[in-house]
Formats: sequence, structure tokens, C-alpha cells
Amino acid sequence: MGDLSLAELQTLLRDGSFALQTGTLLSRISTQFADVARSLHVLYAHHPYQIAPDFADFHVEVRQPRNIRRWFRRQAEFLIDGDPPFEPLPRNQAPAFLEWGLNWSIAASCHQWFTIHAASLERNGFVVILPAPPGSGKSTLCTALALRGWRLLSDELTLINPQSMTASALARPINLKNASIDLIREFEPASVWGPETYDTAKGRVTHLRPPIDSVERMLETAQPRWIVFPRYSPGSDPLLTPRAKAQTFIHFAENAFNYSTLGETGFDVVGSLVDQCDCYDFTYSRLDDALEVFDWISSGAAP
Amino acid sequence: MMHLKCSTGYRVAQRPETMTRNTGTIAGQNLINAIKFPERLPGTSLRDWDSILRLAKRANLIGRLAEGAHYRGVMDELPTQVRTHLESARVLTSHQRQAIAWETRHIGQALKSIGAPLILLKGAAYAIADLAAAHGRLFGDVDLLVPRACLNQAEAALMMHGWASGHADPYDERYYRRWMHELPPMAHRKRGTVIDVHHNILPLTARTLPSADLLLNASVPVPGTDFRVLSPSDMVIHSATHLFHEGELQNGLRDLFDLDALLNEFSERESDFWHELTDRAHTLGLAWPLHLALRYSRAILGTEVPPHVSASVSKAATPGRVSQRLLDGMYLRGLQPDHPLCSNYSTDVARAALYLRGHYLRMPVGLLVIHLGRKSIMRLFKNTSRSV
Amino acid sequence: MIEAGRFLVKQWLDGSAIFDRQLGDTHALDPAASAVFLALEKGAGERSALIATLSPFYPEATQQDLASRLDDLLEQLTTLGLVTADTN
Repeated sequence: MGDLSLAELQTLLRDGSFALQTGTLLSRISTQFADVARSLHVLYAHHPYQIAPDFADFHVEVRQPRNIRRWFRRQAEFLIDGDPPFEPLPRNQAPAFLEWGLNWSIAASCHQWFTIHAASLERNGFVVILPAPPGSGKSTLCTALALRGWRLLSDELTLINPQSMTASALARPINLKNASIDLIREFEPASVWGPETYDTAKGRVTHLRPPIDSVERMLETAQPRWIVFPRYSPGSDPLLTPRAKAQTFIHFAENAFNYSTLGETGFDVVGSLVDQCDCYDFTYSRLDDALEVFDWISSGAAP
Repeated sequence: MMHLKCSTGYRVAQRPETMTRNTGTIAGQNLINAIKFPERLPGTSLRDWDSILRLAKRANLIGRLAEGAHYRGVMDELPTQVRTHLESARVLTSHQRQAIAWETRHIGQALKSIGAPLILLKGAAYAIADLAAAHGRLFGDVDLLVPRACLNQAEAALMMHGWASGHADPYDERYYRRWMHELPPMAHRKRGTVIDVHHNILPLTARTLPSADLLLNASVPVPGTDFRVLSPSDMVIHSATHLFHEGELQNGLRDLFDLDALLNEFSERESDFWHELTDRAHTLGLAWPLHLALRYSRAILGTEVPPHVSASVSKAATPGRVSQRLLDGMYLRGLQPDHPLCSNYSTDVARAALYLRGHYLRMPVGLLVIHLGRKSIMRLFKNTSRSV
Repeated sequence: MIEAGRFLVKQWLDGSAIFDRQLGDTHALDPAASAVFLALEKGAGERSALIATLSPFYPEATQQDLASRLDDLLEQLTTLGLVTADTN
């Protein structure tokens, strides 16, 4: 997408003919908003695209809502197939809204995969899955790994093919908040960012452009091999402990997006995943420590 | 019944002709043909597929479309990207079919003790009776009919087995109990599934209230289950009465396809169906909605209704509008509060055995929203198992 | 007793996960409960046998302790619908 100028992209977005490729999914995007165009131009510079494709997997739009408020407080809403599933957000959050909206659309409708709320990254042909509740530092850790030799599959949606038990990639921008933003800026001064906004509920929010390598290889699937539950604990030394398998099963069964939808298959997939992966809990405070430990895990030396 | 209630109070009805700004009624007709004639699907261009799938998702019909394609054996001949979407929809509808079976078993276990006839209605009825109308369908809540005298017992039994009244709003609660003489919908505390217990197929405030006794007496048992369903004629009439609001096609295509499926199956299966249907509509005083339903089904879906039947039904129908209060009652049932998906039972460490998850009839959109960090409230889909 | 073919079971050192194919529910059991459940699944329904199954998990416990633990466990399993009481 780097060969498109911002003006060209804006034109395509305005008439709804722009379609973005992330992993195997093609999303047709329509918007009049200039900030959304700018954000896309920066964050998806490496991604393939199409113009007015015959077929797209998703048709999304970010626009001003059609309600009374448009005259008072400026807002943005996200639509899929013309339906707005969410209440509108403040206008300046439009670029982030597009990202969240796409996440939701994928998690809600792509049942060809077993979808987990977790980050996933690949190294030496194998995938590590990082499930974690909000606030556990998963995104910061995921970003650091992606910037230091691990191929990013996704920061939010881990997609597992139930038949092959492989993980698929989306290679989309990484969502970061508050202190994590500063941490990563310091960690990698050359990193490229989307616009930063402030949200009363979440604080500072922005997205980081994914490394070009993860985008170029986004169609490569790989086998999950490790499941690591990270926990950021200020001032702590790194601690990696094996995690009980039934405990891990419980987490996935309770937190996967479509565990129930897949019925028995959901049970089988989680069971197999827990069987085929080494499961750990990981506490840390310094990113460099974490990178070292993950290097060690990926080298196959861990028990 | 599926419509969106926006935060500002506008109600958006889903009619075929207003679904797509750009392509208008042509796309609607393409979708109808795609569902009615799956043998013609191979050879559909990718371009046409693009708009058919979008419309199908909006109209809550992608499941039916996928099921038709699968049943007709044409999936292999369709483009890969299209297959992925259809197969994904089938995963969802297959699960739902399974989930409704699980849920009705749970309900049967809870209500066996009250010794009353338990008559499933609408989607759950189609599923348990294995009717074609259930194929590829998404189910939201379970609708159950019991004799009026048993309502309180049913509520008590359900509460003992983990259901609780779903209304957060005490005004709604009172509205239901006092004015509608209905039980408010009840949600199961662990599974989040919702059951609506009725004593008639229309609220007490309806202009023409059919006799509940007649309905109960004509109901048929479903072998191998604890449940009964309405007689074929009554099922069709029930479907017809829920299709219309002030004489207009309200929820549209999805419900109409249900009706079409019922009419096709019953007219073939039952020897004197049309005659019984006409008579019954007259007896129950519901000839007008049936007249509208038959008219629209013929016009939009090409359902084959013998001309003499249409004529006699329309003659028997007392013209008039279905009352606003009746339909308000139905809409109120349609507005469900969000159900928190995180289990709210305490995980006592000392417990040796832990319940984790049940099935869901509704998509766990609350969970998605929480995890994706948005506390913004999901717009209310009556049937949040919408296939996106 | 336990219906044949009704449950899918995955077992690990720290417990097991159970899928109920009739009701669509998923449950997790700790190691002691798993042992008892699996014993029942194999048909070993005798009380003394079940107590014997439990004893390795509670080495310090008396027979009486074990018996009451077993009762508590069976009650939990029954509430979840995983086992039904025999009528003999």
C-alpha cells in the first residue's frame, strides 16, 4: 500500500472502493474521514490492497451517525454491512474505532477458526500464545517480541484452525495504551505509530504499525507450541513456572470467543491445544528479561 | 422478531427494499432466488455473491442460504471465499440447532415436575419437531406456552433451576405482570439463555384473543420429548400473527421464509391442510393476519397458495388494524437487556467440581465487547446471534 | 451411575475437563473428583471401591473422613448432572 499516495487513498475510501488484505481476509472500507485515511495510510503501509474487488469478506464503514447529536457533539460510528453494532464514540476516536470494529467483526463471524482473545507470535516455525486479561501487560510484551525477532500473527485475536490445529495470522496494527506507549517508544525509537487519542475510560490509546516481515509472511500458518500467561509486576525478577493443564483448559473454555459455538469441536480444540503446548505462567517487570526468557523458551531448551 | 432500537429512539424496520441503498430491490430478489433455488447457485458471479452475502447477513438469512446450498450439494462448486462464509454460517447454525436441543432438555428437566402440558412455540417448536422451517435458522429465546393456571408454578420451578427474571427495570417488570398478565422473560443465570413463558399466543390486551384452551387441546406431543407443539394450522396462524404490525410486513424476510417453509411442508404432509387452516383461522378469530401473511408470502416468496383458499380467507377476515398495544407488547419482549457473559457464580476454591460453560443461543457479544476494551453498550439486537 | 457415551473427557495430572453431550455443558474436576468420576464411568460403583479411589489423595484422612468427602463429592457431581443416584 506504500505506493498509494494519501490523496489517492482518500479518494478510494470516499467512494468505498478500497479493500485491505489482512491475512486471508479482505475488508472493504468506506469513509469520508481524513484522519481515518491518514491512520490507514501509516499503519497499513506494508499491506496488500485491492481496488473495487468483486468480492470482499467484510464491508465496513466509519462515518458520522445519523442522529440529532451530529449537530452538537461530533461523533463517529462503525458499520458492518450497513448495520451499526455499537453506540457511537467521540469523533476523534474514529481511527481506533475502525480497528476495534474489525476485531469484533472477525471474532463474531469467523467460525472457520477457533478464536481466542490472546496474542500470538511465531519463532522458528512455532507459535506462542499469550492470553491475558486487560492490564496484564500482554500488549507491551507482544509488541516487544514482535520488534525483536518474533513474527506477529495477532495482538488480540488468535485464530486456530480446528482441523489442522495451526494458527493463522492477521498481522494488523498493535493496540497500545498509556504507559506502554512511552515504554515502546523508548524501546524502539524507529517504531511507526498511528494517531494518539485520549479516552476517558481507557486513557491514551494508539496503534503501532506491525513489522514488515510479519505482513509479508501473513499467509504462513504455524503450530502452537507454547502458551504463556504473562503478568506484569513492577520491580519483579522474571519468573517462569509451569502451569497446570486443567487450569489452562478452564481459562480457554471460559474466555475464547466461540468456544460454545463450536460445540464439541470447541472442547476438542481446547483439549488438543492444551495437550500439544507447554503451558506457563510468567511474571516479569523488565522487557529485556522477558525477551531473554522467551528466547530460551523458543530455543527448545525449556522442559 | 428483529429490529434495532437506536439510542435516540428511532426504530429501523428491516424491509427488503430498504436494506441496501445502492442496489435496492434487485438485491433483495437475488437473495430470495438464492435461497429458493440453490441449484442455480453455481455460476453466480463473485460480484453477485458479494451483495447476496451482505444482504443475507443483514436479513438474518445467511444460515438458510448456507443450509440450502449444503443440502443441494452445491458447496463444492462455489468460489472458496464464498464457501468460507457459508460454512462459517453453518457452524453457527449447527451449533444453534444443537444448543436449542440442549436448552429444551434443561427446560424439560426443570418443568417436568409441574405436570402441565409444555407447548413450545416458534423456532424452538420448529427445531424440536424437526421441521424444514428450522433449517439454517438462528434461535434467540425459547418461547413456551402453558395453561394460565400453571404460570406461577412454572415460574417457581424455573427459578429453582437457575432462571431469574431478566428485567433490570422494575417498571418493565410491573408492566409485564400487571398489565400484560405475562411472566417477564427469564434468563438462566449461568447460560444466559432466555425463556419466555406464555399462556396464549397473543397478550391479553390483543384485540382478538384466540382461546388458549382451543390451542392447548389441539396441540400435539413430540415423541421422545417432554414437549408438545401447536397443531400445524395453529403453528401457521401463530407465525402469521407475529408477522404483522399495523398491517405492514414488519420483520420481513426471515419470518416470511419461516411461514413459507411451514406452508410448504404442511400442505404436502397433511391431507386436508388448507381447509383446516381456513376453518381454524375463522374459529380463532385470526383470519385477518392470516390473510395478510398468505398475501405477502405469495407476493414476495411465490408461495403456492391455492386461489380458492386466498379468496375464502380474505372473505372471512374482518378488516382492521392489529392493535398498537398488542404490538407494543411484542416489541417489549423483543428488547432484551445485555446478559453478562462472565459467569457470576462464585468459584469456591474448595469446590471439587466446577461448572464452566453452557451453550449459548445468543452470541456472546458482551464478552467480545468487554475483551476488546469497549464498555460501550452494544446496540440491541433481539437476536444477537446475528451472523455478521 | 453414568450414561455410556454421554461424556467427553480430557484428563491431566491436575484435573479433568468434561463435556456433556446431552446438555452442552462443560465442567472441570479436580484430581480427586476426576478419579471418582472415571471410576464410576468404568462401572465401579461400589462405595468401598470409590473410597479406595479417594484415599491416595488424602493420605492423612481416616475412613470416616474419606466417606464424608465421597458423599460431598457425589453430591456435587449429582448437582452438575454428571452422575445420577442408583436406585439399588
